[in-house]
Amino acid sequence: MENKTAMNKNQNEGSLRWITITTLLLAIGVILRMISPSIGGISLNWNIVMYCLAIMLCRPTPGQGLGIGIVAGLVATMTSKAALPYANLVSEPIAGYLCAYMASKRIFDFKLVNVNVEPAFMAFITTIISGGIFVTVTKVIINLPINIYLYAMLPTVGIMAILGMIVGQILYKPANKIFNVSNNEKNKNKYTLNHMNLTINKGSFTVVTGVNGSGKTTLLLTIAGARINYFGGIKNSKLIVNDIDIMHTELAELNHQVGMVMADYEGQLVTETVGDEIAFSLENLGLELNEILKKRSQVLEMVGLSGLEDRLITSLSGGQKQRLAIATVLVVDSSILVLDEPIAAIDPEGAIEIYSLLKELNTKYHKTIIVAEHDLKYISDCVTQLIVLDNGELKYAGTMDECLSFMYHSKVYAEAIPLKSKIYLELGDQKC
Amino acid sequence: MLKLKDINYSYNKKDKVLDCITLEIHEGEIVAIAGRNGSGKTTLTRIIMGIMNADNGFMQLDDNDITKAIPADMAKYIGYVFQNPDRQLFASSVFEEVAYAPKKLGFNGKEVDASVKKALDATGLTGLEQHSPQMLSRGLKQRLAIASALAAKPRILILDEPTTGQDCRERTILLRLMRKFNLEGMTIILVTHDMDIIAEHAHKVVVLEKGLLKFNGTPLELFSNEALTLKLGLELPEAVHVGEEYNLGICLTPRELYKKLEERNHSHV
Repeated sequence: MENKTAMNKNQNEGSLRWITITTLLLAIGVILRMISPSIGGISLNWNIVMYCLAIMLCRPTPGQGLGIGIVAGLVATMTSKAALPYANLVSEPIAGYLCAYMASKRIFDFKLVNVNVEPAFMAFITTIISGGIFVTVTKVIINLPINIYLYAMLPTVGIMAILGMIVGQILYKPANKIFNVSNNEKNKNKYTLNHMNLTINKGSFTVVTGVNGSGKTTLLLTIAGARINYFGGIKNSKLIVNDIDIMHTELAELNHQVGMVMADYEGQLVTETVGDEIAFSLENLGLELNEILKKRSQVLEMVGLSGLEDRLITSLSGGQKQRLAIATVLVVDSSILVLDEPIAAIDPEGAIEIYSLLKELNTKYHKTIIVAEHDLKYISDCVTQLIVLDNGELKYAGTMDECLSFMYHSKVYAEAIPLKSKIYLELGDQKC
Repeated sequence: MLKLKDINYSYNKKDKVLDCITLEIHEGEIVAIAGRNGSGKTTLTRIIMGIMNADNGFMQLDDNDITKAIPADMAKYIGYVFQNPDRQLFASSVFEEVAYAPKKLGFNGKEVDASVKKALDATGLTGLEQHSPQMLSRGLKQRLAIASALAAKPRILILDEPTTGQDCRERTILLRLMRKFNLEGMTIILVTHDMDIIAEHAHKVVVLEKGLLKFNGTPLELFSNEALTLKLGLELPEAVHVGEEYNLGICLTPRELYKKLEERNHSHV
């Protein structure tokens, strides 16, 4: 129960968290830089160590890393006693960008003698990049002799990098405890989809099941191009959908290929009438009026809402609203359709309608369908692959019969097995 | 006993949502309200709670006329749990959330503490008093909404599609809780699309269609009539389907189904 609470806490933390942590650490870095002693003209560059720590704690995108680097560069320029402080404006943004890139790819996320040495590697390499660029720019602009550059400046950078490496490694653990109280390694794994080796073939109908919190929505969002990297993303996984390597495809491309209908599908409907709702997606693509009208009538026919263009969305039934949400993603020619618990709040008749529509989209229009679902009694007619997730891991993927048999025998979300199948499994050969 | 007589409700005085609903709900019953989306189920429960007022008609709880009652009056008698708990939870901690109704009803400090403790115990939320409601999982939020309703010590509990968005495990927990409250004497009004729940738990089922009361009887009466069930936009419970497939007659619940299967196996031996 406590874990669940912590998980939800993580989920609800604000998107500006990375800015808060970075600002705080950079401010601490400035103070430490001013008060720390200089031995033989060499002192630790706290600035670099601090933003490096912030980047490892928050895993921002490289673009956000660039922003962090620019701020760090401005701070360093104002506080540096170096001959050419403005060189920081070049060195820090580049180092910030590369540091965030390395952190997001988790290039150095490995253990040596059971200790995760990522902080040491990241601090060392970031200091080398930043310091290297800084001294090179200084050398070129002030035109310093090559001997000073080679035998004084570069070795100084190396020593600072080693100091940064030691301090970074020492500080990372306590910093992680302070800033990532509920986002530590233990809880992070709760969020991370792990060992998710999955292939979803073109034109197939895949249903994903598992208890709430098992990773269904995370998997669907990942496929739809809303990858969740905040908590460490997806580890040790390979996802191939419609021959697209999800983990190595640009999010924008996935957004284009995959249409998603969220669990709260009503939140997706933004206009007043059915017709406007469909036209809204197409207008955003910049299509001509004639083209919009043509595509609109085609898609409304596909989902069985023809003639309802002028109907107020508020007057539609739950099933009709769900079909409209499906139409809005179909109209932009998505070849993959992802739906998160599409029948959760829909009456039985509507539920049967939704699944027969999805079956038709799958068989007649060859759309690849992926659905997260608890209620498995509606899917037997259409499903080609059933997947069960547990605790962020893919436990089984196969035909419905195989998967239900696995769930029954391995007691993985066995509560979801439809009564009919459960009795078949219990009776074995004694079927009527 | 809760009595509704000729309850009408319409939007803008023209779009009829409820049309002459007459209904009696007896003490200690679990009454399920079913029907298609938009048939008026939630509107009916909101009128009972006083959240909406009927255009005309008459409502009575025991001997009291509650036709024009407001939610604050009804909170003493009825607890209401909305379909989406997110729209109901507002306090900064679980304790404050549950304590809100008893405080508003004028309970003293000791009584508030005691009723909060009892409600949290009953819903398995003890220990989470200081947690933020917004940070709980969907299942725990639903249970918290139930605890908040229970803390005012109501005699009737209205649950509007309590299992929507819950996984099968949390669904079982919620239904077990509902059953327990009912065994302790609480009347339950349950809005649901889940025929398995109706078949297994409801004493009585009321089906609405376009605002009209089309059926009022026991689950057995409803599900024995497949044509009517389908006509009302419902479906047969899984146990009934499987029972028919095995020629076991009408089995409303998995338990009945297993029992009949066992009996048949014994007789074959």
